[in-house]
Amino acid sequence: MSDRREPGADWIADVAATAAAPAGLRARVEDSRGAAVKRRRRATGAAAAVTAVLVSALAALLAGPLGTQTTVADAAVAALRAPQAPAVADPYPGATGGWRATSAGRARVDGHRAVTAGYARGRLRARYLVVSGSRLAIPDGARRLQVGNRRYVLLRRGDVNIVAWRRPGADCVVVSRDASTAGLLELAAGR
Amino acid sequence: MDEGVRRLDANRLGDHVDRLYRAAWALCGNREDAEDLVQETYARVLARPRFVRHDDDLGYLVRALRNAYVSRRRAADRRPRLVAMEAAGEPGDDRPQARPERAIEVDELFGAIAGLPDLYREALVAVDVAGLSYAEAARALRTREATITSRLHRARSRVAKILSAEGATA
Repeated sequence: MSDRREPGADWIADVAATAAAPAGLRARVEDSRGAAVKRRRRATGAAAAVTAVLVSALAALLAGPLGTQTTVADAAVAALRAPQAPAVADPYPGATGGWRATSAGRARVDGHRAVTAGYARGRLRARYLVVSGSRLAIPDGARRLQVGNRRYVLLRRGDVNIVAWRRPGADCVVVSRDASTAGLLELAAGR
Repeated sequence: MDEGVRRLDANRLGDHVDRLYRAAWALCGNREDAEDLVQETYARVLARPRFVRHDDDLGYLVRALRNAYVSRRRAADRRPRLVAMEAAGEPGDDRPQARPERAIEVDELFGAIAGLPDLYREALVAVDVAGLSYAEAARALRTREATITSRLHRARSRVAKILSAEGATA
């Protein structure tokens, strides 16, 4: 080792660079990576399917005499298209009725902040949407339900159930193709 | 979402396995633990979507590797220590162009780095072994660039001293 250069930065980098990961480790890392990509594709596919249903459901909700609020409605639909990431924690803790948060997303569209959260209960899926500063119009044919201090609007469009309500500074909507109105009300009650 | 923040691309993570392996070896001081550490780091990172600023994938991975290393060491401190078997049959570098004398140097170098105090070792591993810039290393280790500079200087001096002493006794 007497002919070795002084171990400065270049020498350390040169020597270190000659070490390569063993083939076995590469293979294991590649397996992990491939499995993660597959997992994510499955999750993204499912989320995209749910989003497509929910976007059409919200479009149905917003169909009707919107008047000057169309822009806000469009913003809400766009917010639902925002990418969803798996939820680390429930963005709105306190879900009732056995619902658990599975995904979350947020966007700012036309100046309105929109937050979405996906929920699951067994095989049932629902999406919760909050549009800040919005006042979505209520289509004809909606039923109304008073529970405590909250007034719900109940809608059914095709096989999609929709429950909406208003809270100070925001409109809230929960929507699902497979959950009943009662199930959605249980989810809404904790929001 | 903040400007410049993007999702870590799982498809590109495999590109960094060599650098992470070197960094892990220099942290742990042996190849067996380094392999385990790299595998654990990838498993952690791939467990859920990750977000990075700019193109700092390697910096993110080095930070994850360092965190996994610290966790493992804390856990190891709480249980009986295992002594690694001598690696006889399977060399770490299975590329055909690897030179035996260089393999010895690598072993000595990483052994010397592994013996450094934590702060010096981490700076040296991030910059000289993993190949991060000073700024990237500062972000990865959550410290200032000036701190990285001074730690690197001391770390390199110590490595030189250790290797010189080994050379003199060889």
